[in-house]
Amino acid sequence: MLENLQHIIASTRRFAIDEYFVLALLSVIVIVTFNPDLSNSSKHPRFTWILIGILSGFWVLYGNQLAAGEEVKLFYDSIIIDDKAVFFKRLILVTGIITLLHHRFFDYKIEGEFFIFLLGAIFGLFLVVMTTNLLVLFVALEFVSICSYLLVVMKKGKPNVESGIKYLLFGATSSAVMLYGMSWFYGITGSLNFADPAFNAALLDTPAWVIQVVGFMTLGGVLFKLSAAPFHAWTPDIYEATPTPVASFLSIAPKAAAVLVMTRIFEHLSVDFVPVLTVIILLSLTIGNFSALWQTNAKRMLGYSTIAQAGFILIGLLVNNTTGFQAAYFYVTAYVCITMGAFVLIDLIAQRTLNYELESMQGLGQFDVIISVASVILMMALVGFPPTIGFTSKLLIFSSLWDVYQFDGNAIYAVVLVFGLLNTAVSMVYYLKIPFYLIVKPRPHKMTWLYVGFWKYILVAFLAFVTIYLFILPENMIGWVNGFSFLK
Amino acid sequence: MNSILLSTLIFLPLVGSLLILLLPDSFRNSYKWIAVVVSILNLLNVLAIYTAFDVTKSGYQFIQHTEWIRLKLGTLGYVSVDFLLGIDGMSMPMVLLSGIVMCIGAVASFTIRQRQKAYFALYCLLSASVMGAFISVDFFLFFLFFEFMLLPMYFLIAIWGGERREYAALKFFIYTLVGSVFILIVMIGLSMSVADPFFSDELGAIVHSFDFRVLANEANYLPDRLLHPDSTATILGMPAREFMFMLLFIGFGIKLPMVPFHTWLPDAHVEAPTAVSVVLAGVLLKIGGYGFLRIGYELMPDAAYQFTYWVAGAGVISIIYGALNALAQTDLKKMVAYSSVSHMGFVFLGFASVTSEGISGGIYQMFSHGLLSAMLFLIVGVIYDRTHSRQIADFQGIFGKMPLYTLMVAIAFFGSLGLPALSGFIGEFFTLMGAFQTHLFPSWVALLGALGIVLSAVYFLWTFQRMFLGEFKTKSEFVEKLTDLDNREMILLFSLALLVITFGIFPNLLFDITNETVSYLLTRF
Repeated sequence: MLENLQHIIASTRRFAIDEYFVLALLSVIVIVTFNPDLSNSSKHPRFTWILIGILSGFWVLYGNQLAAGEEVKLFYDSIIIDDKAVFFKRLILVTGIITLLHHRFFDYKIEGEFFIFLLGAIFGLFLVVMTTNLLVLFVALEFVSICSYLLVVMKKGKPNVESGIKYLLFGATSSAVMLYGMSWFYGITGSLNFADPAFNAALLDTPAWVIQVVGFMTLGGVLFKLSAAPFHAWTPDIYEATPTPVASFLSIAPKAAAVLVMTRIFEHLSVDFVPVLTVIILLSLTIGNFSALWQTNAKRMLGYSTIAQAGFILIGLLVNNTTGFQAAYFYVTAYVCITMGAFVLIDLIAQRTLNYELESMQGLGQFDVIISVASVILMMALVGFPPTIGFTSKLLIFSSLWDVYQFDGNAIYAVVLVFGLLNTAVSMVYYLKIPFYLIVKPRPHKMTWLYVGFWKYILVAFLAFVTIYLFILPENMIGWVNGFSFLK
Repeated sequence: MNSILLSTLIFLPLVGSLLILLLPDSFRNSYKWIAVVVSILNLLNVLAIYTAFDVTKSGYQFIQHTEWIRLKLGTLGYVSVDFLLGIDGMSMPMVLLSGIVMCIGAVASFTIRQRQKAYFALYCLLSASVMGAFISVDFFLFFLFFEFMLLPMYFLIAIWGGERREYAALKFFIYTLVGSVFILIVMIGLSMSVADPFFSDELGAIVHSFDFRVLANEANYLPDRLLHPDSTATILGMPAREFMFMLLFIGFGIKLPMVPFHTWLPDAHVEAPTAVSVVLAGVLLKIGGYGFLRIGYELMPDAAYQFTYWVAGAGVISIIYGALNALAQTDLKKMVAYSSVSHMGFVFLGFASVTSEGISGGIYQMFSHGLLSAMLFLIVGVIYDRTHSRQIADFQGIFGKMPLYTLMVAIAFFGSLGLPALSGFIGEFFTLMGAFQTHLFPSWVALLGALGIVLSAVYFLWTFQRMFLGEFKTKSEFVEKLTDLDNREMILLFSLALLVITFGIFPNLLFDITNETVSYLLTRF
C-alpha cells in the first residue's frame, strides 16, 4: 500500500509541469466564469496576450521536462514521457500559440469559453501523446473530442450547429468503434498497455486477419482525428462553419497527436498493417484531392486538402520503420506552418472580400503584392513544390517509401509511390486556384475591397517566409526529428 | 573570378526580379530596362564563359561547390544536396542559347503594356531558373529549377496570353508537372541507390548524393540497391533501370515535346504573348532534350541502349506527325508551333543513334532550333502586332509592302527547312547522319526522318509562297497597317539572322565544345 502511495506521489511530482497546465486551465475557467463581459470589453485582447504568454512559458518549461535520453513512466506505465512526447507537446503548443495569434490579429469576437475549450483540447492532446495505455488513450481522445465539439458549436449559427451535430455523430461512432476494437485487444491479450511485450506476444498467437480487423477498429478514433478516409466526412463541413482559427487548430494539432499515437502503436506491435493502411492512404488521397477539385469555397477546399495531406502523412507510417516515422514527423512539423499559414491567408483574403468564395477574390492579388506572393508560396508548399518545405517533406516521405521498397520489393509500395506522386499533380490543379483567382483573373468592375491592418499581413508573411526559410536551411528541423529512436 | 561566374548567372536575374518588385510604380518605365540590362549582362557573362571554356576537357568546368542540405533520416543515412554548379560540353551550348534567347525575349517584351511590373519580375525569375537548370550539376538542384520555372511560365501565359490563356496555361502546367513527377521518382530512386564515397567516409554513414558526377559512376552504386547497374530487380514487371529510363523518357518527352504528349505545346504557343513564345520555344523545350541527355543517357546508358527503338520511334513519329500537322494549319503561329514539334523530333532521333554525330547533332539541332524558333515566333509577332490576325489566308504578296520583313522570313524559313549554310541544316544533317550510321535501328527509320525534312520544305515554302509572293492582296483594313520592320524588330531579327548564318557556316563554334564531352559520354555505352 505504502509502496503504491509512494509511486503515485513520485509520479505526481514528476508530472508537475502538466499539473501546472491543468492549474492554468482551471484558472482560465474561473476567470472566464467570473468575467461574463470578457468578449465585449478591452479585457479580451489583453487576456489573449496573457494566454499567449502562458503557452509560450509552457513551451519553455516543457523544453526542460526531460534530461537528454531520459524516458519516464508514471502511474504504473499509464503515462509515458519521452522525447517524442515532449516534442509533440511543444509542437501542439506552437499550434495553440499560432491559433491565439490568429484569433487576436483578426479580432475575432468569441466568447470567453473559447479559451477554456482551446486549452482543454491542448491538454487532452498532451495526454494523447503521453500514453501507451489504451484506456487512457481513449479517455484522452474523448477529452479532445468533447472540447472540439464545443469549439465548433460555440458560434451559434445554423451551419455551426449542423456541422457540430455531424461532427458529434461521426466522432461518437468512431469512438465507439475504437472502444470496441480496444475491448477485443483486451480480451485477446489481457492487457491494456500496448507497449507491454506480453501484449504483442499474445497477438502472435491470433490469426493475422483478426488482428488486422481489430487493429483497424482501434485506429478508428485516431484516424478520425487525422481525418483520414473513411473517417473524413466531417472535415469540410466543420472547416466551412467554424471560425478560421479553430479550423486551423483542428486541422493540425489533433493530426500531430494522432501521428505520434500511430507510430507508438506501430512500433510496438508486429502486425502487418500494410494492406489496411494502403487502402486508407489511397482512399484519402483520392477522396481528398478529387473532391477538392470541385470546390468553390476556399475553406471547404482546404478541408478536403487536409484529407489528402493525411494520406501523405500516413505514407510515412506505411513505411513502418524509423526512417518512415521520422519522415512522418518531419512532414507534420513542416505542415504546421504551411497549413496554418494557408488558413491565415484565406482569412486575410476573406477579411478584404467578406467571404470565402473563390469567385470573390478575383483580382485582389493584383492590388496586394503580399497576398499574392504569400498565396503562391503557401499553396505551392501545400502541393509540395520547390522551393518550399513542402517539397522537402514530400521528398523525405517518398524517399523513405523508396527505401523500404527497394529492400522489401512489395509492389504495393511502388503503387503507392507512383499514385501518391501523381496525386500531387492533381492537387496542383485546385491549390493553384487561389493564386489563379487572385492574380490572373481581372478585377470585376467597380469591385472594392476592405482595408485590413498591418499585423494580419505580418502573420501571413511570417508563416510564408518560414516555409521558404526551412527549405533553404532545414538542418535545424531535421535535427529535431532524427534524434528520435524507435523500436523498428 | 571564374568561380562566381556561374552563380551570377542565377543570382543576377533574381536580384533584377527583386529590384523590379521593390521599385515603386513611379519607376514604371524602367522595369523593362532593368530586365534588358540584366539579360545583356547575363549574355556577356555567358560569352565570357564561352571564351574561357576549355574545349580539351570532357568534364565539368567552372565548378562551384557549396554544401547545402544534409538531412539525416533513420536508417536511410544522409540525404545530401549541394549547391553545385558547373558547365560542360553538353550544357555550354544550352547556356549560350539561353543567354541569347533571354536577351531577345526581353527586348521583344517591350510590346507588353499591361502590368509591366509583374511581367518583368516574372521574366527575370524565369531567366534565373532557366539558367539554373542548365548549369546545375546536382540532380536535386536541377529538379528545383526545372520545376520552379513552371510557375513564372504559368503566370506569363495565364495573364498576358490570348483568349484561351487560362486553359492553355493550366494545360501546360499539368502536363509538365506530371512529367516532372516521373522525373522526381527517378531522382529519388537514383539517389537512394548511391553513396557518395567521399562524404560517406567523412560522416560515417551512407550519404545519398544527387551529384551527377557521383550518380554517373557505377562504382558508387550500392550492391543491394534496386538501381545498381547489375540489379536484376523488376518494378511492376519491368527491369528496374529500364522502368526508370521509361519514366525519364516520358517525363522529358512531355517537355520536349514528343508525340503523343505534345498537345500542350500548340495551345501554349498560340495563347502566349510573342516574347513568351520565343522563350518557351527557344529555351524551355531544350530543357527536355538536355535533361534527357544529361540524366537518361549519362546516368543510365545501359537502359538507354535498350530503349533506342522507342526513342528513335518517338523522334520519327514527332517529326512526321508534327510536319503533317504543320501542313494543315491555317494559323501561322500554330504552324510554327507544330514545326517545333517536328524539329525537336530530330533531337530524339539523334540521341537514339548513340553515335558521336547523332548526339552532337542533337545538341546542335536544339541550339539551332532555339535560334530559328525564336525568329519564327518573332516573325509571327510582327504581323500579329500590326493586324491582330495570324491567318495565313489573310495575307498575300506582302513582299512589296514589307521587303525587309520578307528577307527575315526567308532566312528563318530556309534555315528551318534545312538549307545548307544556315544553322538548321547542320543539326538535321548530323542527326540523320548518326541515324544512318547506327546499327541500333534500321536505316529506314532514318529515312523516315529525312522525309520530315521534305515535308518541312513543303509547308515552309508553301506558306512563304502564299503569304509573301504573288499579287498584293489583303483585307482592306490591313493595308495601312502593314508597315515594314521598326528599329527594335530589325535589331532582334537581324541579330538572330546573323547568328543563324554564322552557326550555319561555322558549325565548329559549337562542335568544338561538344566533341570531348560527347566522345566521353560514348565511352560509357
